[in-house]
Amino acid sequence: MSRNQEIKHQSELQIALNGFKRNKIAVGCLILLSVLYLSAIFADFISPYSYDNEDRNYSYCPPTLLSIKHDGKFVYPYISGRELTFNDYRQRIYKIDQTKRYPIKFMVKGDKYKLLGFIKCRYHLFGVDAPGRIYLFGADSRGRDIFSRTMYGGRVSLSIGLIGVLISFGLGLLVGGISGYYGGRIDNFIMRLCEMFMMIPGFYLLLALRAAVPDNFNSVQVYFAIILILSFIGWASLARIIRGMALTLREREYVLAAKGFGLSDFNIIVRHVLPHTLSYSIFAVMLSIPGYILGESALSLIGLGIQDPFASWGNLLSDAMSIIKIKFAPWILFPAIFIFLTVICFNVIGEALRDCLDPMMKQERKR
Amino acid sequence: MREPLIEIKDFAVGVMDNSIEKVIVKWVDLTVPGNCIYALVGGSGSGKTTLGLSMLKLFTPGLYVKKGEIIFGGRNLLELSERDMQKIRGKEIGAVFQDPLDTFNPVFTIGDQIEEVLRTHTDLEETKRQKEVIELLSLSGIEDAKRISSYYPHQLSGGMRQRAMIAQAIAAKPKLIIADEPTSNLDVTLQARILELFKDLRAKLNLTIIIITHDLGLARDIADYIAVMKEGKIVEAGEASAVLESPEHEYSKELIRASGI
Repeated sequence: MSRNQEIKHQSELQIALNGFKRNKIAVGCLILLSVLYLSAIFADFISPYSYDNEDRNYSYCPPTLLSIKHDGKFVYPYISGRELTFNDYRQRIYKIDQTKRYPIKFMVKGDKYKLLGFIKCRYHLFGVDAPGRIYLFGADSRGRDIFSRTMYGGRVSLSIGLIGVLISFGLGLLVGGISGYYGGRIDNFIMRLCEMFMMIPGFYLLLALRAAVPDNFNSVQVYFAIILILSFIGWASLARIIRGMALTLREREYVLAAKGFGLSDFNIIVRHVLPHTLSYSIFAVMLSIPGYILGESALSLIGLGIQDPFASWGNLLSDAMSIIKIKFAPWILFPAIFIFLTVICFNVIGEALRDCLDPMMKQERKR
Repeated sequence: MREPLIEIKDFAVGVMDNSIEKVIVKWVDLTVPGNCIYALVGGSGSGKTTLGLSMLKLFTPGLYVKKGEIIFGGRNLLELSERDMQKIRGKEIGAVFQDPLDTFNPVFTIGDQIEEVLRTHTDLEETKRQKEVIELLSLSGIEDAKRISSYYPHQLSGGMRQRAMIAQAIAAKPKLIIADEPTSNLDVTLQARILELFKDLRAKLNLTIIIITHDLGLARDIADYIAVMKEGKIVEAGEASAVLESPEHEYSKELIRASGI
């Protein structure tokens, strides 16, 4: 009996969550994504160097490998020193200098930063003593640590997706809700407007809008400009779908009842129409975040987004646009792995959420 | 006759059907006195629900007012703006709908939705509102009101939901309640209890209740006045005893025969 009651009190959300937990791949993705977001938040602590800490002696230095063996014996992990030489074709060759050994240290004093934006700090999770430099993912043309820059880049790339989606979904929900709820002429006008936005191919609209932004913006302004541009493009398709749902939802008896109790139209839309589109919206949000991340990357890749020395994943990849560079320094593609992982994770989580939130899908799976 | 609370004069509602105009409510006159229970009786499609919801100025899409006046509190409701109507709906005129499973939003708790009415029409603080919700639920005959108020609509039985619906309707202390088929989805014993509740509330809160029903037996049990509707017209109206005992119109006689009174 008591067991029955427990089941009865499971809310729709709990049932959905249980369904989600059963999808092990999605849970794995969620964990991976959390790690990525945490690494972005604590980027300045995790990365051994600041994003603009450069040493031109290490231009395109390959990733440093941790060694635990020295003279055939196991020792504390260390990295070896490197010496820059050139071969016959004037190509950089980094020779490993076994005489110089820099043991890995934790809580190393390094570049100053503000943890979480307000705690002054200069300790980094790991690092090596100068003059040694640790390059987990190798170095870029100016000898900056690609690992550190990837961590910093995650701040931009990961947050743009979230903020962008928040804005465009807020807009899409509201516009779609209004359009569907009122119907008639208002609906017609709003929907034609949406179609105008959707008609223009996304990437070209992105470029055109970016061109409209003044080019003397600083990086923070550019960051927000990109968010606005991306959300400006994204809202229309959602508004259309929400509008379709609102059209059927407004016929529900409880909408009439809410009207009968003297609620204002805005309250009815927000409280009695939009909540019912939530199960769709949640996974639609998840599935659309990759679009924002890729959009920012695309803009930064062609040099219209975040500018050097600030890092974003797309910006980091702009270095990897020539085949020669990729051939001789393939490690500059490391940020691409992060973009790839993030996009995959959001997609898998989105799909998993759709499976557990959408009752129609559930029945299909049972069959 | 007592002072009229709401007066409907020469009221007609039409709808365009394939560019042919159909009149659903046909030039109706109705006067409802204060503090009474008025039953609007008629078969399906007789326009009784349309007439009832017109008093809240709620029309299903496509319907429009052709003619007439609805006078309530000295004002013609049909001339009021939507914004003014929002102040009247719930606050002055409450509504109880047919199926409370559909009329409660499934994503919010019962208490939350009753509180919503209070939030819209009163300046009470949150803690006072919550207290008021519990009082309203108890007033509507729900025991253990505190627990029930935290339930979602699907967790309640039909009778409970109807009581909660009534609690919601009386939340902002309206003078008039329009109940559209309030008991048609309930079994006979529950029906009787809900009717008792209506009588009870009328006495306690000095309410006027307009019950829209197809059931003349129900009207006999509860109503002071009865209006019989057929095909959009009110064919007979008056004190309940007069209509039931000496019906003049053929349709009223038919209804009385059919309900076996």
